[in-house]
Amino acid sequence: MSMFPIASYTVGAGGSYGVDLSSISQAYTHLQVRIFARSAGSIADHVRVSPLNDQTPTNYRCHYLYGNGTSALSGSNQTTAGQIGFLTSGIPYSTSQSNTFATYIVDILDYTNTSKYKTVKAIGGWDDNNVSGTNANVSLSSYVWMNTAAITSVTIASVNNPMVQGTRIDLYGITSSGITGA
Amino acid sequence: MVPIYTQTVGAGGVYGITFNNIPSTYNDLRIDISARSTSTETKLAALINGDTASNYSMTEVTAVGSGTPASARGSSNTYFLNFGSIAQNATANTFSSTTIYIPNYCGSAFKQIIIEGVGEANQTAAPSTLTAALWRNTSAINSIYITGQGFNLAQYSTFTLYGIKNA
Repeated sequence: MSMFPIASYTVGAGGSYGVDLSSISQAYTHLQVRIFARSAGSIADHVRVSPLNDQTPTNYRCHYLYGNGTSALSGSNQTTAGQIGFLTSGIPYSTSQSNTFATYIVDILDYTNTSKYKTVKAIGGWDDNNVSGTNANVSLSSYVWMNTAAITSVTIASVNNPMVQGTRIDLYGITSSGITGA
Repeated sequence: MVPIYTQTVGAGGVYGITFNNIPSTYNDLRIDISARSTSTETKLAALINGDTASNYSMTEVTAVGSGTPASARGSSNTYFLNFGSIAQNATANTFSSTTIYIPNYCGSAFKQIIIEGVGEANQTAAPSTLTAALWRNTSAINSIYITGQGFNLAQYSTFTLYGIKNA
């Protein structure tokens, strides 16, 4: 087996903005975060996944490719404070279809490698039978963290409002092989 | 998910990497690629079982960091994976992030391949892709070769092949 659960966080009654996961084991090669989330707020919201130890916007550059059922768009920006590590498709909110959560799979390859800047890649989104219109979408989003330091902690949190009970965040460590197969 | 093989490019770079003798004991394959090029060219190519004939096709949605994404379809290609590394002259220490999924790689159908990739290099114009590809061959996959399209892969580029078994 190569994919090992490191941490799991489930939002309870009362809601929560998310979690800071620190002291991440350096024993793995890659990290994967799996997110199942919904906002308690009344406006469209986003989840961000970012290294906890660096919240300087100029150390990041992000891009996105997404579709919302009407348009397909792509873009780039140097993130602003508080929006570092955006997952572009957002998450459902209070007036979205009930019992609907967004799903994301976030990969961070070579997170301990001190010869590389870290690229975070996320695929995911949500559909709610057109209740939320173009606020529901699917995306491939990414950013580079321009730091060769190993990632030892991450913040996974909503931006505008707390997330509801039932929201789940899982962090996995993925190992590599000692055999080349060459 | 089990790591089968990992290759890390050493100093001096390498033209390509090959995963040979892929065991047939899994159901699906996954390949994670973190790559950088030794030239200004960035697109990788991949071959299955050494097949260099026109047995591949791809449907792609691609973006370059702004504007309307593009979609293209290519048939009768001699490789798959038209994406995948960061240029030599891009911001230092940046590497692409690409994942390839090949479900049912030992099955008797043609092989469907899904690719998601991003090339973050602190630039406005950074590529991303969602690609569906097909290898029109019913043979089990026993080797995969990944190379730059006319360039070497740079030091610290990594390639890991995983086997995924169902319940």
